[in-house]
Parts: sequence; structure tokens; C-alpha cells
Amino acid sequence: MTLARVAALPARTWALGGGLVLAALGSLALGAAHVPLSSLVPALLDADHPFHRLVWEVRAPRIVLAALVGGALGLSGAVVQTAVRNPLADPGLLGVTAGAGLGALLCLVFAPEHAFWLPACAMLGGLAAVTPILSFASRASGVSGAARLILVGVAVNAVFGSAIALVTFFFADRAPAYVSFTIGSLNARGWREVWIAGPALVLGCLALLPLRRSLDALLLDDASAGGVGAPVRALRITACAIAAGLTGAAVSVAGLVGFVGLVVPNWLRLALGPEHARLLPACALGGALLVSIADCVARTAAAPLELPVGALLALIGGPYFLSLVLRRVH
Amino acid sequence: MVISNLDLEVRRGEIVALVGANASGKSTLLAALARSLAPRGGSVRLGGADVYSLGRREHARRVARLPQEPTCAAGLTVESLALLGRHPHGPPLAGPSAADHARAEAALRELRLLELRARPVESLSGGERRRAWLALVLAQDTEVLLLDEPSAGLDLRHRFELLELLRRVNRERGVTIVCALHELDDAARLADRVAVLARGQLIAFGPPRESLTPEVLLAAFGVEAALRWDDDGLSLRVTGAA
Repeated sequence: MTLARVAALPARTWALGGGLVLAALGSLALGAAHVPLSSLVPALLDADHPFHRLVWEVRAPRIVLAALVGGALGLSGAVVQTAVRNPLADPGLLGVTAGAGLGALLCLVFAPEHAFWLPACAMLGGLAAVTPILSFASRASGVSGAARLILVGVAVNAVFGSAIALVTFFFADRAPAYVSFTIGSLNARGWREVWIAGPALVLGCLALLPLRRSLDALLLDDASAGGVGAPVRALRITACAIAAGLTGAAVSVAGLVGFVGLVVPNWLRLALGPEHARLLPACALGGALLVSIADCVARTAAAPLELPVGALLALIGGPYFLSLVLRRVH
Repeated sequence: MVISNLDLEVRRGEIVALVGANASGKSTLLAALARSLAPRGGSVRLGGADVYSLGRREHARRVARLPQEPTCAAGLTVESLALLGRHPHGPPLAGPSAADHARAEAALRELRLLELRARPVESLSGGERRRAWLALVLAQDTEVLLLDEPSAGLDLRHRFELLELLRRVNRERGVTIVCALHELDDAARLADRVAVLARGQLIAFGPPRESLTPEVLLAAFGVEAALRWDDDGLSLRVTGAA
């Protein structure tokens, strides 16, 4: 994306960016121990500052990770919804998140010394889950098609979810805690996790940039998209593979965070329209903003206890999903 | 509908109307011509080259197709829809250029859609929606247009304007048009030649006065009809069903 195109982004996208900066500053300052805003910069830069460890080693990586995970899930949801032509599609609801979770879990259990393979394993799991969705999507259309797609997602979720439960049951000594993993949490994540998932998350986001015009062709029905020269099947597979990769990288460090990919693209599509040159940057920023705020609330609402961020997001996402379903039914 | 033993040659720069009863194979033939339905035998050739030997984008720069019931994502505006017609032009990874915007705008102007450019397609009436899709295929700027019932859902005025527009596009730009039509008088007024299909077979193909005869209509539609030709075109009166 050239500088001219960045400058041409709508004001709402810039507002999301500004909101993200404010959320990051708020997250740095707020918590069980309050850090005055005036002390943030000295605490970040001065290694001897009394708040340096708290701000730089505990909160900063978590904020970066929340933004990366949220941005990736927001993008992933937008792309999956375009690829399967269904606004109800969400990596979590379709089982892609569970597939990625199983991949990550198997890596954690059987190759814990190769943590940097985590995103790749999670991506493979996500791809395994997305395959039945993809083959079904080309045959599903309309309200009943949307409902059937979600039912396929329920089945995929059930299969991968039970596999996750079995792995955490049999390898409880090596697997992460089942509840925090399946709900999703950023508790105790640091710069190591940023380095594990960050490159894959950034690469996945960058891979979508050149596809934005081609993805617009998928806003048409298959015959019309083919008529304007779009390689419909290849595009759909590529889009889902990138979405699975983004979801996998996010899940490998944050667990099965759900609903971001459903809520963010649907809200932003209403505000900005479905064209990807505007939608994708906004979804990346919107997802980052939503997870950053949710994580800040998760850390501070019941401090010193920490709530799982995934549970808070599900509180927003669940009712929203229900409202989307009811709107389609009526 | 399966089509068999069909040999149809459309000359560069002519307008051919496809007519026939429901399920006679008009849409199937258009889909085959548009290379979205590969024939099990035989070939579809464009200027002598098999359409499948052309790249997808190259084909889309030369042939545009308007399906019978096209759909698009909610929220897509009329202007964005027209701009998607520019998809095969320019580098695939770059955004639309100023020239693409200008061409899409010209198509919107031709179809009197400039005032509706910012409206989501789903908020339009059936006829306006049809014109918005026509703007997409006109913006595609191709040498061949394949249109599946483009006048369906249009009121009398817009139907008249559409036929005028197609004739103008054909005359001024030399665009070849193959067009499935339900209205026989439209086909007679618009087309240089009319192809009549029945049960997947081509039963007549020639100038309107030669291909639209009572015998052909009886075979194609199962109706007895009286046809009267004058300078304004065809008047048709169905007198009975066979």
C-alpha cells in the first residue's frame, strides 16, 4: 500500500488507529498497579525506573500481542466471510480456530522445545479444518445455505474440540490449562510469544494487501466473478489459507479467542462498505482495538485477579451472533 | 439444459438474439460461449482461437457476460459494481487507475445511473439493479457482450433505452452482441440475426424475417401465431396453443 493510498483511508479508519493508540496508552497505565501517564515514557526508556519492568516486560508485550492477535482475527474473519460469501462465517464458529488450536496443542505437547514451529502447526490444523468448509461453501447459498454452513462448522468444531479435550486430558502434565486455552487468554504472555507469533501475523497481514482488488471480485456471484477474469476457486483457496494462517498464529499464543472475526468485519462492513481496500485495514485496526480494550478490561476489572479475555469477547460476540442470525431469519 | 450438435457462427460486429422457450438452452449456450461451462465435445472459438487457450483475464478483456440473475454482496455501491468491470484491465495486484474510474463513470452516465452511484445495489429497484449490472459489463470495455435477458424487469421506457444503447454500442464501437431475449419483437428490432433454440437444438438461424416464422414458433414455443412485419418491426399475435 503506497503512502498516497494510506493517506486516502477514510476518517473512520484513522479514528480506529487513534483509538488503538489511546487503548495502548491506557493499557500501559492501568492495572493492579497504576502507572501515571506522565511516568510512562520514562518507565519505558529508563531501565532503572521503578515501573520499567512492569511497563516494558509485563504490559508492553501483552499490548503488542493483543493488537497483533486482534488484528489477525479481524482480518481473518473478513477474508473468510468474503471467501465463503457468508457474513455469519467466523474462524471460531466454523471450527478453523479449533483446528488451529489442535495443531498448536500437538506442537506444545509433542515438540515443546520447538516453540517457533507453533504458528506453522496451528496453521496446518486451521487448514485441515477449513477444507470441509471450503468444499461446502461453493454449494451453499441463501439463508438455508448459510445455516448449513454454520452446521458444518458445528460439526468441525465438535471434532476438533473433542480432540483438544482428549489431548489436554491425556497429556495434562505438558498441555496448557484446558479452560484458559479453550476460552483464550493473554495472561503471562511476554516478548517471547510476540517473537513466536509476530512474524507470521505480520506476514499474513502483508500477504492480504496485494489481494484486496481480487478479493473484491468475490463480492460478485461465481459466474460474474469469473466473467471479470477472477480465478474464483484459486482465490477462495488462497484467501482461506491465509485466514487459516492468521488464525493459527493468533491461536498459538492466545488460545481459542473467538468472535473477533465475526463482530469486527460485520460492524465495519456496515460503516465502510464491503470493498477490501477500505475494509481490510479497518478490520486489522478494529480487531486490534477490540482485543486491546478487552484485555485491558480483563486485567483491571477484577484486579488483582485476571479474567480470560476470550470470555469477555464471547460476552459481546455471542449476543451479536444471535442478532445476526435473527436478522437473516426475518 | 444439454445442448447437442449446435454449430453457431457469430460474425464480428453483429447482434445475434437467442430466443426460445424456457429451458431451451439459451443460458447454457451463453455460459458455454462465456467459457464458464466447458463443452464435453466440440469447441468454442473466439476469432479462431479456442476460448480455453486464452488466459482468464485476457478472455475477460475481450468478452463480458451478464448472467440472468447476478448477485453481489450487501453494501456494494453502484459505482463500485461498475468499477469491478475494470478488474481484468491493469495489473491484478494494483488498485483501479484514474482511467478505470473514468471508464466506469462513463458507463454509469450511459445508463443514467450517475445519481444513484453511491447507493447500495440491494437498495435499487429491479430495473435500476439491472442497469447497474449492465454498467459493469459496459465498463469492461470488451469486443463481445454476452447478455442473458438484459431487459428482464425493465419498464417500457428503460427497455426501449436499453435496446437503443445496445444498438449504439454495437454501431459506434463495433461490439459484437449475443443476447438471450424473451420478447420476440425486441429480438426482431435489435438483432441482425436471430437464433431460435428448442430443446437444446438450433432450429433456425438467420435474419429476423427468415428465422421468426409461424412454423418455427410452433416448433420452438408450441404456439400457433400470426406474424405481421412492417417498417417498425414485428407484430405478433398468438392464436392458439398446439
